[in-house]
Amino acid sequence: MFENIATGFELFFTLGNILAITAGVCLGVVVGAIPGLTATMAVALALPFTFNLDPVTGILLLVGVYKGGVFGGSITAILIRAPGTPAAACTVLDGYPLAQKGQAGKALNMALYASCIADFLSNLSLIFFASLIAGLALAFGPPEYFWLICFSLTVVISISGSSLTKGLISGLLGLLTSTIGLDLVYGTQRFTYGNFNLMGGVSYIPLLIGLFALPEVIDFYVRKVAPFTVKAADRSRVTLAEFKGSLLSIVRGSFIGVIIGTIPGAGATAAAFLSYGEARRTAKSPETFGKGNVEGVAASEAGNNGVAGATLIPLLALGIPGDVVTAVILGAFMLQGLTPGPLMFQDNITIIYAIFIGIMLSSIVLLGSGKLAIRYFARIADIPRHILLPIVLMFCVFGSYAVQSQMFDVGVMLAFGVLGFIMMKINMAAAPFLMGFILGPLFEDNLRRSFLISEDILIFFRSPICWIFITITIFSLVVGIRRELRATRAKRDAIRASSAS
Amino acid sequence: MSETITQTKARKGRRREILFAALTLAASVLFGLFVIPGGVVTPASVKHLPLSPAFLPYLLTAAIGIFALIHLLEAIFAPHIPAEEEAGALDAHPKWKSRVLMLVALLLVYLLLPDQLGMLVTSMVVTIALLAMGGERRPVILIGVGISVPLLVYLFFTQVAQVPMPLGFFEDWM
Repeated sequence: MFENIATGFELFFTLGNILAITAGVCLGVVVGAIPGLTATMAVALALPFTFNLDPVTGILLLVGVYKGGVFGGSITAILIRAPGTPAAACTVLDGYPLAQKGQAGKALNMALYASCIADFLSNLSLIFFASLIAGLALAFGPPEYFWLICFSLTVVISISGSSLTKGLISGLLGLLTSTIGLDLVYGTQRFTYGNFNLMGGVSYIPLLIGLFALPEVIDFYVRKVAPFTVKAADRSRVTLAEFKGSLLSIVRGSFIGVIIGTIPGAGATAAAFLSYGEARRTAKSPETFGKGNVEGVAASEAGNNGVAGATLIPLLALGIPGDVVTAVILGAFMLQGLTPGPLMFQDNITIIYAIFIGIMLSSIVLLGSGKLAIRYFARIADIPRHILLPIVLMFCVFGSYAVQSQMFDVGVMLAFGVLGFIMMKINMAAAPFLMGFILGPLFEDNLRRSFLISEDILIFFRSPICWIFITITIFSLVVGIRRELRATRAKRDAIRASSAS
Repeated sequence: MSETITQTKARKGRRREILFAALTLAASVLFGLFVIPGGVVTPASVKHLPLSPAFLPYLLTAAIGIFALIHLLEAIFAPHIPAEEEAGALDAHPKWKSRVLMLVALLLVYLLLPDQLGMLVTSMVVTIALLAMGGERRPVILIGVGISVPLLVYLFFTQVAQVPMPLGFFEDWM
């Protein structure tokens, strides 16, 4: 084993590999920070550059782009409320309010620290628990997935904002929107009305951009005065006390990310929201979440970055890509003549070790390049709002168009922008809508697939994994609803007391 | 005086919540009665209810209706809790109606004109118009930002990200 590790070190420590991982992370951060250009797109763009590279160099370039892209998404989420990547949508909840308070520096730095720690822990999990976790992931069938999604949906309670009922309605509307398109089982049309563009469902990226970024633009032009100026050059930094206070959420979020990342198809966005929900549920003052709590930024970033290393677990251990990015990376492996899976651990163990070493280094590179990116990207927020917002709108349009090269997606973005603006005005949180929209297809797909398998409701209680998720779903629902009701009752008592006096 | 303002705000807030809940409830009923039957094609061969393409839309619509009803009852019988955003909200712009119309027009330009004018020219036109609408009067900024930024973004998307953008009438020239 030690001989293999030594050979792996030898294989990794070349200038080309170090340059590849550095360039990959830097490119990923830049592309990830641009709304509409996702980490997946960045990895796909970098793929042709790997054709003439060594296997290790090529793979590390792609892994670097992926990891940089996941963090990069948080920069614009915090500064201009436009998540660069879908996974960064949760970071908006507390990152943007912090920026509004003039603490963009603090939010960005906390996002970076949480990302690096989560990435590091995720990498460690990849190295030490790859085969164990991959085996666990294989035990997941449609009923187990169904309960996992049910549990994830309970997060809606934590991100409902000022009104629980409105938050739940928002989440249900998101789920309902996700049903648009061709039916997965029968292939019949649902709410498409013959429109070819809607057959595949509502596009995810335009919806995300519209829902979060566009309302700010509309709001600016409708209000009497500019609502605020984000001060990026505020020099606010994360204090040691804040870091210590958020450390538990970071570690917990990292492991949530690892578990979700290991399960194919679950995704970084769900992990970020779950981690955020857990941080809020266990916080001493949950009412501060959503209003600029730095722990909220830490939790959501830990959740989505914890996924980054873990998605490679089913890929390397079993040869199963967990999401689109790892599918592209799988393609890169195959182009190099390598087939990920159990056999690769026997035949090409030195390459595996070299990749592991490179992946570990990527966390350190991410810290350096992230610091640099924060310094330069943060200047975006110094731009006066009346100049910045037309540019944001332009990015929204270009980013939405770039997804499928069709103007229909621009229309989707504008429509959901208007919806987001209306939701903003009626104090209805947009995050539950997004959560419902993301998890909707997985929820329905696994519900119906379970029924197709057995045509008996007992299939939903068939394994210990099902029971574990049923228990934590009920627990999460009861605790979440009780807490929200208590908070509402306390507010009402305060109002009654003030009106009585 | 401030007591009166608070009470007026609370009354307005309560009325707004009742209106929201009533509209949502009405929308869910209409959705269940007309939109789902008209918009979802259900094959005759469906054996079990959960396998029907209309099952989840009906379930979700019913849930929305129930929560809207709860919200309605809450808004009628419980004291109104002002949201933070509501309490600290800034007034609308004095000319907000004309500004909304202008913004809608510019968003429609972004949606409808790229196929004719090309994405680059459209984004330049809209950016300059929005800069002017935001209060920018310096020609250097209006023209400089309005032309250079869309050009740079356009070049990034087309040359670096390799995303083909609509060229409009330039397509014939190139």
